[in-house]
Amino acid sequence: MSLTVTQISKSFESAISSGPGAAANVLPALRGVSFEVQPGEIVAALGPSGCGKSTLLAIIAGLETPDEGDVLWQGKSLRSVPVHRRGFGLMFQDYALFPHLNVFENVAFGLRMTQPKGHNRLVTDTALASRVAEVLQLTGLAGFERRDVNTLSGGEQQRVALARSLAPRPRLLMLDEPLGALDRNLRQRLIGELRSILRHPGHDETPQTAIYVTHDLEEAFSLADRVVLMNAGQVEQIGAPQEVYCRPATRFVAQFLGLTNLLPGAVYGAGMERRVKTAVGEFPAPGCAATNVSVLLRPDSVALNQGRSRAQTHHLDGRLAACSFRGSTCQVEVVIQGQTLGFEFLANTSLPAVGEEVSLWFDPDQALQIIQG
Amino acid sequence: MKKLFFSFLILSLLLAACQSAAPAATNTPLATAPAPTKTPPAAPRTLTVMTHDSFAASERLLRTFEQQYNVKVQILTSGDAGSALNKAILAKGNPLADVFYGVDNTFLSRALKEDIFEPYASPALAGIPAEFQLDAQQRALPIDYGDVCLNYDKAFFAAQSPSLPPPQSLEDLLKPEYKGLLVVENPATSSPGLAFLLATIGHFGEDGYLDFWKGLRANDVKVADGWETAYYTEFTRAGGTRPIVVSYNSSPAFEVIFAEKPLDEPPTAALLADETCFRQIEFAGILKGSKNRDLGEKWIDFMLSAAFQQELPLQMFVFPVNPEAKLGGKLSQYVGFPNKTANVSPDAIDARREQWLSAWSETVLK
Amino acid sequence: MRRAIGAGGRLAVWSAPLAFLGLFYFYPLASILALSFGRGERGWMELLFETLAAPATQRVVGFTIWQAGLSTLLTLAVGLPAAYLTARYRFRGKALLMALTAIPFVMPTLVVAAAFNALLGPRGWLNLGLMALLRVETPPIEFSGTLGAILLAHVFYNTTIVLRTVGDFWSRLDPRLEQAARVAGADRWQVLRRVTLPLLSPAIAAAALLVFLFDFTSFGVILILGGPRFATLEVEIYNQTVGLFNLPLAAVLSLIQLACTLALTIAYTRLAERISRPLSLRPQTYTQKPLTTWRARLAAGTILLLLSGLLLLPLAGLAARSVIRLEANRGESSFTPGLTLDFYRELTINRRGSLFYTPPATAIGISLAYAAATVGLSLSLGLPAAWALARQPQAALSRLFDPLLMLPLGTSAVTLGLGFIISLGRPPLDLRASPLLIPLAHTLVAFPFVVRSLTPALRSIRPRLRQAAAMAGASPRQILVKIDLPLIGRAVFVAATFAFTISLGEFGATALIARPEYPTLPVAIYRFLSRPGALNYGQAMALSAILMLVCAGGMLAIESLRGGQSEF
Repeated sequence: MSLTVTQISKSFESAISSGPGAAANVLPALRGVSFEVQPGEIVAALGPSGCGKSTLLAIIAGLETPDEGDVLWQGKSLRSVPVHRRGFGLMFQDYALFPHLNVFENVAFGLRMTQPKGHNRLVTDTALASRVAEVLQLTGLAGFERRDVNTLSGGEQQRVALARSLAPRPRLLMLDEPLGALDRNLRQRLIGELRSILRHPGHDETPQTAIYVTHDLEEAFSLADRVVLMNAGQVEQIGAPQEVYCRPATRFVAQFLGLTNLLPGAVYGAGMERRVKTAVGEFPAPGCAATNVSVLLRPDSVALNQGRSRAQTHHLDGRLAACSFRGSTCQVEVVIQGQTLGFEFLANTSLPAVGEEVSLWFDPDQALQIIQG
Repeated sequence: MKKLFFSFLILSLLLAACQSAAPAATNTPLATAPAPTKTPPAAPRTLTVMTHDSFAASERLLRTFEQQYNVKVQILTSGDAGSALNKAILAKGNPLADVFYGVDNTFLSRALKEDIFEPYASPALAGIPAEFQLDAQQRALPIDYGDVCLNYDKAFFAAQSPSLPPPQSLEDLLKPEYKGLLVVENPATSSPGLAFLLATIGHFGEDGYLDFWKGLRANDVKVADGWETAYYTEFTRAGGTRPIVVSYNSSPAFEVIFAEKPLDEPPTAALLADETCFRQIEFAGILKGSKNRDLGEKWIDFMLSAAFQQELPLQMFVFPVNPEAKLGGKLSQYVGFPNKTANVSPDAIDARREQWLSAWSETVLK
Repeated sequence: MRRAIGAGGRLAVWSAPLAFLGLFYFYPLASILALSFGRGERGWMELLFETLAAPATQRVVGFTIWQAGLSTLLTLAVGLPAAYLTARYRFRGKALLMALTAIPFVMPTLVVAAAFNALLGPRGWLNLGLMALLRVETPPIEFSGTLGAILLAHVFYNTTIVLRTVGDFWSRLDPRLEQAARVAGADRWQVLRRVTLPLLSPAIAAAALLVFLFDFTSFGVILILGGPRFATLEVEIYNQTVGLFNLPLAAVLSLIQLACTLALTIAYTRLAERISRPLSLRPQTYTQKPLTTWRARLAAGTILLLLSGLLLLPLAGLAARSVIRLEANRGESSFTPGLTLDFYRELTINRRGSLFYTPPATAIGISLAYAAATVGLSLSLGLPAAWALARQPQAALSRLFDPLLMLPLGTSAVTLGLGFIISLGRPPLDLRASPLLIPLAHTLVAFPFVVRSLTPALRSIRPRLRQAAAMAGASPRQILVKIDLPLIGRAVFVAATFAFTISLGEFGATALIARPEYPTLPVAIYRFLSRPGALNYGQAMALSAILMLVCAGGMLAIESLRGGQSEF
C-alpha cells in the first residue's frame, strides 16, 4: 500500500492567455517531482504558496494529468484510472461542502458512491450510518447530523470536510492546507487532534496513509513523519522533520526554515584537505565537490565570549546591532565585517548594550554547515 | 429532488403517450360505426383531404360518406389558404393528401401553373352554373363562393345628426362626410383585403384604381393586417372607430345567427351595389400522385352534392355553387347577393398580383 | 475529470441533441432552401447580393434589428427590477405573481391586440378617461399602428423571460458579496454597478439574447399591432412565400435572417465566455428577506404596480370581457352591460353538429399533452447539451455547437414549416401529417430556452464540488445526478416552465401542422375569432380566459412540485 510519484512534470498556459502568441506563454508548475509514501505514513508537502504542491495533489488525485511522469500505487500506474476509481480521499482547502446536503449526507456521500449495486440496502444503510456516526464522533461532530452545512462555523466546516474525506476509508488521504483558513489557536489545537485522528481513523484500523499539503512549517513538522520540501515546482529535500531541520540540503531549505545566516564561501584544496573560505574565516570542508557554496551558521549554536577559548572553537568579533526579547530566548543581530547575522541566546544571558562590541565563539562541527549552491 | 425530477419526466412522457392515445379515443364513434351489412367488413381505406384551417363540416354528413364507401376520411388543415396551397405545391409528386380543397380564384392560376391537380370531369358539374367553372380543363372544380363586400354599422349611421346615409357606391367613400369611417384589410396579408383591392381594380380598371386609393388615403382610410383585427377591433360594433369595414355579404346574417341574445334584425348591413363586391370562388381538385383517385372522385362528387352544399353556409360561412342547395330560413331572410360583382380573371390576378400589391402599398402605406 | 470523459464521450453527450437538431431542423431547412433556390432563374449568390443591395431590404433589416434592440432594452428595463424584487424578497403571493406573469407568454397575438385596444385603443378606457378629463373630442393617445404598440406588446410578451432567467440566478447570488462591497465603502448604486450587475451579466446576456431573438423574428405583433406600415424580415418572408410565392426571394431573406441570428449568437457566446465565472451560489433561504423597511416596501410597491399595469391589467380586461354581455336584448335599442356565463355555456355545445367541434376540456387536454411532451423532450435533449456546454466551454465542439443551438429561434416558421413538408415525407419518417410533429416543432423553439436556462446554472457550480464528489468515488454520471442536478434544480424548473409555456401558447407552427380534430387552445381560440358574430367573439374570450387559467395552473403545479425540497 504505497504511493510512488515518479518524475512528474506539468505546465500550465499562462493565465492571461488571450491574443496571438499566447501559446508560447507556458508556466511550468512541476518539474521532475518524485517521492514515495509508505503505508501508514504521513508525508507533508511543504513549500511557499505557488511552489506547485496543490498541482501535485491534483495530479495524484487524478484531477489533473501530468505532462510527464507517472503516479503509481503499489507499483501500478494510475494513469488510466479515473478520479473516482482511485480510492483516494481529498480534503479541500476551501472544504467544498455540498451546499444542498446536510452534515450527515455530506459525510455519507462517498459511502453512498462506493456502495456496490444490488447490495442489501438495509444492511448497507446500517453500516453506512454507523460509519458516519463513527467519523462524526472522531471529528467531534456528534449531534451535528441534521445541521445545514451553510450554517456551520469555519472550524465546524473544516471538521465536516475532514469527516467526509475520512468516511469512505480512502487508501490515501490528501489534505490541501486543511487548517489554512482557521485562526491560530484553533489551528494549534486541531494539529494535535488531526494527528491523533490520522493515527487512529476508527477503531481497529491501521493508521491512515496521508499526504498533507501546507505552507506552514509548524504544521508540517508536528504532523508529518516525513517532509517533502518544494520550491518552484521542484523537490528541494525529502526527509524526517528533524533531519530536514538539522541538515537543510539547499540554501532555499535553510532560508525557508528561517536559517538566514548564510555566508558565501569559496572551496579550495583537494580531497580531504579541502577548505572553505568565507568572510568570517576559513573552515575545513572535506570531500566537498562544489567550488562555490553557502555556509550556514546556525543561530542557536553560538556562545558569547566568556574569556575562555578552546582549541576547536572559532571566534568572531562584531557589533551588537539589535536585541529583542522573545520570552525564553533573545534574538540578537550582530554586524560582523559589514554583514548582519542573527543569533539566539537563552533569555538569562547577560548581553552588552546595543552598539557595543561583542565576541562570539562557536564550534564549527556543530554550528557550521556547508550547503551546495 | 432527484426523485421528483424524474417522476416529473416520467409523468411528461406518460402524458405524451396519452396524447397519442387520447385523440384515437375521441374518434371511437367513427371507428366503431356499423359497417355496411352486405359485404364482409373489409378494413376501411383512408382518404386524405388537405384544406385550410377554416374547413368545417358536420359530423353526421361525413359519417354518411364514410359508411357509404367504407372509407375513413382524414382531414389535414395546413394554415391559411395561401399556406395550405404552398404546402400542396411543395409536396407535389409525393402528395400529403388525395384531394385538396380551398384554393380560391385569387390563387387558382398558381395552383394550375404548378400543375398539382389531375383533371376530373365530375358528372355533378353539369348542374353548376358556368360562371363558377373557371378551369376549362376541369382540374379545379368549384365548390363554393362568397362575396367580399363593404359592411356598415347600422346603429352608427342611424345615430348621426345631421343624418348621414350609409355609402351607396365605392365613389361615395371619397366624399368628405365619409372621412375616417372606413377600415380595410392589407391585401398583402389578408384574403378579403386582396378581394377588395381586386374589386376596385375590376370597377375602376387598372388605370383608375390607384387614384381611387389615393382618394381613400386622403379620406383617412385605416388599414388593418387582417379581417379579425378590422372586424373585431377597428369596426365600431367591436368598440373601434370605423363604422364601415371590408367583410362578407354573409356577415350581417351571422351577426343574427351568432348573436349574444336573439336579434330581430342584423345590426350590420352589406353594401351590395353593382361592382362594389368581389366574388371569391373556392375550388377543389384531386392531387397528382394520389393513390386513391377513385375515392377522391367520390369525395368531390360528395362536396358538390346538394346535401353537402346545403351545409356550407352554416359550417364555413360560404355559399353553394350548386343551385339545388337550399339556404336555411334565417340565411335566406338576411343574406343578400350583389347583382353584379367587380371581377378580375384568375390569370390576370396571377400575372399582376405582385405589381398591384406593391403599387397599392406604395400608394396607401408609404 | 477531464480524462473521465474523452472526446468520444463528449460526442456521445452531444449525439442526442445533435441528431434531433439535424433531423428536425437542419435537414428540413437545407431542403427548403435548396428547393427554393432551385426554382429561381439565377444563382442564389447573385440574388443574395442583389437583395442585400436593395434599399428596401436594408430598410427591413434595419427596422427588424432596431425594433428588436429597442424592445429588448425596454424589456430589460421592466424585467430587471421585477427580477430583483422576486429574487431578493419573500412576500405573500409571490408564487401567484410568478404564475400570473407567465400568462402573457402564452396568449395569442390576436387576443392580446384586442386586450390592448380595450385599454389603449381610440375608444379604450385610457383614451375615454383622458378625453373626459381634458375635455377634448379626439383620443389623445394613438396606439395601434405605432412603433409604441409594437414595443409595448414585446415587453408584455417577454418580460417573463427576463424575470425568470435573471431572477432565478439573482435569487441565489451570495448577498455577502454585496455586503462585502458595502463594507468596503460602495454605495447602493456602486454595489449594483460594480458587483451585482457584473455578477449577473451572464444571466442578463442570456435573457437578452432570447428576448432579442423573439423580437427579431416577431410576426403577429408586427402585423396586428404595428399594422401594415411596419415589416420585419419575418413578415417579408411570409409575404414573399404565401402572398407572392416568390420562394427564391423568401429563401434569400431567410438566409439573411439566419446570418443575423448566427452573428448575434456567436457574439453572445464569446461574451458569455468572458463574463461567466463560477460563483458560490447560496440557497434562497439565505438570500431572501422579508419586506420590512419602508424603502423596500416602496420599491416593491412601485415594481408591482408597474407589473400589474403592464402585464396583468390587459389580461384582467380580457377575462372580464368573457363574462360581460354588450348586446341589447331583443327589441331594446339601448343596453346596459350585464354579466353572463353564456359564452362559457356555449363552448360546451356543438350547435352545428360540426365534425371538428372540440369541447373545452378536450382542447385543454390536448394542449396539456403537447406541453408535457414538449417539456419531457426538450429537457431530455437540453440537459445533455447544456451539461456539455457548461463543462467544456472552450472545447472545439462546444464552440461550434453553442451558436447552432440557438438558430431555430431565429428561423422563420413559414420556411421551416415548408421544409418539414418536403423533407419529412418519405417513410419511415413520414411525419408530415403526424400529430407528433407538433411537440417536435415546439421542442425546436423550447430547446434553446432550456439550454440557455440550464447552462449558466451549470457553469456556476464550483468545479471544486465536482472534484470533491469525484474524490469521494462518484462517477461522472453520479456527479451529474447527485451534484449537478440537485444544485441546478431551480434552473431545471425554470427550463420546464419555459418549455411548458412555449408549447401552450405556440400558434404559428401549430396552425400549420395541426390536425383539425386535435386543436390546441390557441387554435380553438383562433377558430372562434375568425367568424363573425358576437357569440363567437365571446367564446374566443372565454377560451382565452380558460387558457390563462390553464397556464397559471400549470405554473403553480410546476412550482409546487419544486416546493417540497430544500431551496436549491
